[in-house]
Amino acid sequence: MKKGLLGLLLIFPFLIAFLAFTTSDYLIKGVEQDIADIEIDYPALAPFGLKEGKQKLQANAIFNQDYPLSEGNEIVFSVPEDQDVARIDKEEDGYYLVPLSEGQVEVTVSNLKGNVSRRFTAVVYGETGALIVNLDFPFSTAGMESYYWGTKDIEYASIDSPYSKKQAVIDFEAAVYGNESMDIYDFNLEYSDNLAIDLSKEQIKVLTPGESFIRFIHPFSTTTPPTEIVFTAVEAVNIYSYADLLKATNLSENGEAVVLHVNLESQANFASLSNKNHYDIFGNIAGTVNPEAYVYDFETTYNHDFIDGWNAGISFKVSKEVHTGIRLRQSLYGNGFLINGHDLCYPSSSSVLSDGTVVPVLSPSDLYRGPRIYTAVGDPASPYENNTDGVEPLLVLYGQDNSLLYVDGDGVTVDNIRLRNADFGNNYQNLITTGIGIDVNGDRTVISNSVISSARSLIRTYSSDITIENCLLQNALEYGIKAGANEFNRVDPNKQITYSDDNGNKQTTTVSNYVTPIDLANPTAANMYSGKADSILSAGVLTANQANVFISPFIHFLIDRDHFTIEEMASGAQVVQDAMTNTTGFVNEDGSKEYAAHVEVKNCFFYNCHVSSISLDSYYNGPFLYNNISTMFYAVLGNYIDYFPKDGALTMAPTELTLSGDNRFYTYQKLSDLSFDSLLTHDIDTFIKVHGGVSSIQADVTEDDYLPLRQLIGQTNQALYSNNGVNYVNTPIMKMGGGTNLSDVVFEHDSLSSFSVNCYEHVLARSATMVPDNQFMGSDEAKYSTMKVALSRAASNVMGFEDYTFYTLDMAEHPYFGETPSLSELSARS
Amino acid sequence: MIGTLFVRELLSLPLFKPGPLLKKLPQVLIYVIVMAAVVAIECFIYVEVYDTFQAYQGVNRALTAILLFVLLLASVVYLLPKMAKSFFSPKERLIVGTLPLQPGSLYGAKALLFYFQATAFHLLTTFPLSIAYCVKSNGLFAFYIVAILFALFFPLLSVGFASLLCPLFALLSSFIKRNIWVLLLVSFALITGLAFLYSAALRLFVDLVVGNSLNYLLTKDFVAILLRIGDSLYPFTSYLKMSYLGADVLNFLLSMLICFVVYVISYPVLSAIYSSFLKNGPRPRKKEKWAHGHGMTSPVRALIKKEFFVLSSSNEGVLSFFSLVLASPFLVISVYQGVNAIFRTGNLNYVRILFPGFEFFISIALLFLFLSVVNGSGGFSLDKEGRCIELMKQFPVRPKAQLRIKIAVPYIWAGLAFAVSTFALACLNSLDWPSFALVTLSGLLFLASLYFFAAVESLANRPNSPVLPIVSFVAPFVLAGAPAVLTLIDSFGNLGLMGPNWVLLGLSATLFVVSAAAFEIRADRLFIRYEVRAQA
Repeated sequence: MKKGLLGLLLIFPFLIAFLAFTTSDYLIKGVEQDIADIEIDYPALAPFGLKEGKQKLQANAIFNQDYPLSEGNEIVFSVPEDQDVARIDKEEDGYYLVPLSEGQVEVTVSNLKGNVSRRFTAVVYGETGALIVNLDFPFSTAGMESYYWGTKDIEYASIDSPYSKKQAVIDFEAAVYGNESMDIYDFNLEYSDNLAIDLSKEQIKVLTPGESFIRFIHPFSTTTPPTEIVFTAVEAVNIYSYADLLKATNLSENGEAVVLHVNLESQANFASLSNKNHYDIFGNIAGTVNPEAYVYDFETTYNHDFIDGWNAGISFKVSKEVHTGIRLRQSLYGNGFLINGHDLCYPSSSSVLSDGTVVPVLSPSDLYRGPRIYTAVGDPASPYENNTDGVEPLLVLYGQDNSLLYVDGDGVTVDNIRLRNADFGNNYQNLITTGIGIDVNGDRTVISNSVISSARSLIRTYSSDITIENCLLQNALEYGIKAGANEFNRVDPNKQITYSDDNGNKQTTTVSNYVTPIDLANPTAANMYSGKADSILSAGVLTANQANVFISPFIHFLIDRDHFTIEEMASGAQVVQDAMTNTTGFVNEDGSKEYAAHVEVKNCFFYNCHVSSISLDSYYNGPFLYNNISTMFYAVLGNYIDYFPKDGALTMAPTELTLSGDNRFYTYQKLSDLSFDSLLTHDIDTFIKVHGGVSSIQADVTEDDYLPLRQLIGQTNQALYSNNGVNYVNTPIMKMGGGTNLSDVVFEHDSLSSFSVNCYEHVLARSATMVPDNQFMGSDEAKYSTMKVALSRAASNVMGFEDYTFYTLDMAEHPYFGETPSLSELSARS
Repeated sequence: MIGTLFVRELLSLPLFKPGPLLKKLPQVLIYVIVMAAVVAIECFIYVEVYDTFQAYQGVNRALTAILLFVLLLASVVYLLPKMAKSFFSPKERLIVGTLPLQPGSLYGAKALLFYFQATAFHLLTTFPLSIAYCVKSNGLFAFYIVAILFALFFPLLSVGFASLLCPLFALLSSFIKRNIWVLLLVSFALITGLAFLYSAALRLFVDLVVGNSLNYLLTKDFVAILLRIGDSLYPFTSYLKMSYLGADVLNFLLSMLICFVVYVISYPVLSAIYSSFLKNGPRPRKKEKWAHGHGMTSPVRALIKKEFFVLSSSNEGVLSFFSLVLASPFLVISVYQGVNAIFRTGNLNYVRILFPGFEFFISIALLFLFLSVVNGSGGFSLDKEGRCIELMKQFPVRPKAQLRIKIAVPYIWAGLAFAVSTFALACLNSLDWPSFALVTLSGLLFLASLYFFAAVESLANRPNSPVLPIVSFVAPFVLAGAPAVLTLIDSFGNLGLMGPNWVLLGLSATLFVVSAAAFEIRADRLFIRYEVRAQA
């Protein structure tokens, strides 16, 4: 008996644990998986003999094998049409290059869609001979045609030892094909003054920065094009490994400008390569791969007042530390090489569901676990962190995220880089913890000729003047570009506010008086219906539901649930929003604005940016973040939540976004697939379940309840394109709403139209299931419905009442629908 | 003859002991109900686990194979002490040694009994789980037939392994029990090791539950390891695969043959050793060493020493009093923290918040139940005195004093262990310090009550008395439940009632007073009467 009971006591925790298990469905936000890269074994200048005839072309696709590829990812080879040097024949067993005459022709290897490609130059040689010169560390055959070489190489004994810089030397190999009697010395050599060439050693020394070229001209053939190597020499160090990059950036005292000559791939992709030349693993130091070992950590530049206040308490601590893989204080010239931060940014484990879906799983040791928290109602706990037990996050709003590349200096140029945070497959949701591609914190930044892909958001720029030019931005869970400012104003309590009182008369008072909470210990009709902020917001809580029945026993006052009309409440909310807004220093008296940042987007392609291609951010500044009104919410929530945000309603400084040149937005997605739930975290379901006393109903709160943007966009005809009965949307620019947004968009060409939606007005029009008041407390359905409606308005009290503004393409024309961006086209512009 | 001997063996089991029908029928009914409940609970839990893991490819088969393997080990552990006790019992040898019985017949009867016991074990465990697996995985109908065959053949493997290990087990057991210090050391080492393993497993489990996602544990790599382990557990995998189309029947038949072969090998081995034991008896001990005299000592000290040896000389093996007491802090802390963490997660978090006081109830009930189980293992028992009871009356020490010493020795150990447990919980922030003080005091009072009641009931020699079971196993729920109910009522009406810890202390003190009074009033008289009844 004793042994049995002891055994039972020991098994007890295991038995009850199964009762505690709740399984959560993993969100699927489908996106087509394209190949990540193409592996080819051809040098930049590849010789093809006329006499050898057609030759089979080979290439391998690199992609995440756990997920299926979408259509249009077959490898294809192509050459320009208007030339007679060679042609490509497609046969049953593959592609063949057929040389036609001596000369050079660019061969492009790409997927059928065209958004992933490489190219090399096929040199067709005949009897006159052709000189093939290939650098030992060639420029990448991917990316754009924008090549650099640093004037310095670095050398060091180990990762922890100091480094020194020496003059850069470029080794090359040269050989003459087709004419055995000729050698390199027979060719006429021309080169720029800043270079020194030693043909015997086959070396080039880079003496000074500047435009550089080396040209070998055929001595007697006028038809043979010269063999050229063209690049720009810059005052920078050359990078040949991950360790070199770390030494020159994170581990450097002042940071160096860097020129890449190596691809930094993930371990999995590296292992699948047949030729590992010019590849290294991101995170490889002396044979050990540990990308987290030398990340750069810094305190978030986003506002962190709430976190500071929370951490001063005795509960669990919330981190305000942000991680970045590479800290750039000077320029980075990518030469088309790749930085794939998969092993740093992506969850290290995965699980396979019964339908074969591979789901990434965060391990406790994973560093990248989603963005930092900006503010919260309830416990500031993110579902991706290693949380403490029993946390109750009602609503959590996010701030700055981790990044792969962090620009932390002025005048930084990031050119011709292929940057990818993760090989994420075919589900946007897999990118939820992968962070930002490039986070910019500096002025006069230029990001050009680059492919930035596969991150939660691709480029984040706050309080930075930046030009983003000729880039392909693709595969983002949220935004291609997220722009904002770190500068802010707090609420001005002395600002004069004009509002309508209960009789419709205009009253003017200060903000501090206007937003004074109602004293629920002494409720009077005069207070409840004064027309001031709390009365209007409380009316918004209680309208079209029976929350007043629930609240009345606590405050000994039965509030009239429909005292104000919806129009009065909506306009009152705008007055409240005005009270929370402080434009001092941001907006001049004549209406002109002092922008904290200027963002110019020029000639860029945007593809598969799930929420929006470009976002102009603002701080959420609902009155609840300022002084916890509406008091109705505070009275209820105060029973379960100990810590509330205070003085947290901030007005963000404006940003000016300029669109110039030929920007193209390819992201068409079904309206039903559009989702904004990654912008915040909520656990309203659990709150209703635990505290709402509605045990018979399975609480199910979705973004349509607290952030009904999809519904509102679906009701806006100009935003929709109908194809075969399915509605598609393409919203290139989103001006974040909720909080006051002073930013502006400037168009060089008027190709986008805008529309605004207001979530608060929309939820005010909703009504709950009503039952006779005396039956309310006994009806789970009525209570649940009331709570859902009331909490949806609570979300606006927290986030604010500002319109969300979307810029949309002309959907009648629906440009680029069904198309994918062509990397070759971008490359041709570089 | 084997049949007759088998029936004799069967009748020695509690269920089959002869007795009046009116008394036997309820006993049988209870057994049947308990067995049905065991099957129902294990199938329910298995189905729940199966459904939870169903989302992950290949996990369920691997886990089921691992479960069946664990049940095989459990069956061997279940049979070993029984077989060792049955085959190598010196008392039985004295009885059957004088009878004209073939050792082979004796062995055959016992082997048959243990086969039936093993079959019963597997019919209660392996068989229902196999059926549940087949149902959940939509297996072939033929598997149900295979499962019956498996349930009949597989026990041969359990009995076979147990037979091979039985002589070694018996030898080790007798060696350990011979030396009290070796017994203590081995028990302590074993139980502490088990406690650590248990803590580690529970911690992992709780992390999994608190993480609230099986994705956290069931990564591709971990599932691959599970599958490798599951597939290597022969014959279970071949058995489970019989539920699919195209299963390798030959492989399965081979595995059944292996069960048979193991048994066939073990049969003559154990039979030979048993025959030798019947003929020659147990191995003679080495010459006993003279005990060194320690000189005269006070009666109290001598009684304390005596009590210490009585507590240590246990037939319980590793579950002896001292080993349990020493391991109890590890177990208590693990279970307490684990349950607390689980009750802050998922659905149970909702229950915890909905019913204020529920968490208090579970925590205190667990602590006090541990006290009951650990100390009910023989913290106080007059049976252990054996013949010494006759001597006790002749000691020149008052009966109550002897009894107080008899209570004090285990009480001090157990009390210390309990205080260490609650102190550790307070240090780990699982208990706040004011609660630590009150709960520790309440626990010590409850523990004292346990001992006083145990003393009174042992002296009264009423084995069927409900007092001790009620105090041991019902009182913890009442002591924990009453304050919890008051807390719940308080939460509705905001009545400002006394904190639950104070109510607990009050109730524990009340129980202590009642038990102490019962002891003080009745101990002397019962002590005298106890001896008289024992002789009668």
